[in-house]
Amino acid sequence: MKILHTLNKPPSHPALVAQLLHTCTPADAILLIEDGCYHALAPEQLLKATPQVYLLDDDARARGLADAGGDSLQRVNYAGFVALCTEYDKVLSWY
Amino acid sequence: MTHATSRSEHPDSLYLLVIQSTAPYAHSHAQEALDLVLAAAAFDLPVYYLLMGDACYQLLETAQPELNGRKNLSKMMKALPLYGVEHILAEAEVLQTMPPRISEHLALQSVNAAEIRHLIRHAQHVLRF
Repeated sequence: MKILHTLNKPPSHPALVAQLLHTCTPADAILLIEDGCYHALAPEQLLKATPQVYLLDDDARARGLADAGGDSLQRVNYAGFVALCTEYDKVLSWY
Repeated sequence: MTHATSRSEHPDSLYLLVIQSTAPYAHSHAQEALDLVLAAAAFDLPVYYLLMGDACYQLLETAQPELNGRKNLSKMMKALPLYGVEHILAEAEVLQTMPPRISEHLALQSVNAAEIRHLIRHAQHVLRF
């Protein structure tokens, strides 16, 4: 069982991030969307939970984060978002 | 970017303090804060515009919010001095986490917690978004 966690809140919501990290296993993936993209400025905490951390490219570029996170984050477009949803057994939204 | 204003620079007279603490592009709060700042300036009201917390992300100058169907607020930020808004402030603690990404064209004042407390206490009105 592997889960795709979507996160749409910025790092100023530490309780939400803590809940996500408590439930995330290394087999899971985290997809940063909307204001969740600001985690790309300091993604280390998320990357400790799982190496699969994705960034929705349109939302990241909208926020001036075109190159944030460097190679440690994988960028996806909307088609990639859909593909991730089908690849993982469950999608869990953290909002 | 210029650094912290001294307390003596804060007028102890009438001024409006607009505090924005929400991130710029997920909701309309930032747009509303900016509209209010511009409206105040249009009526020659002394206004201080303070970005706190997530609002400091508004200073990321490479933002392309058009991708999400939003207006680019960083361009509006740069235009504020043209409308007579001279006091654009941001929380020093947050700025320290993102200095290379802030527009160098913006006359931004970095303020610490003590200065923010002073600004709030001496403002005639404070509005937070």
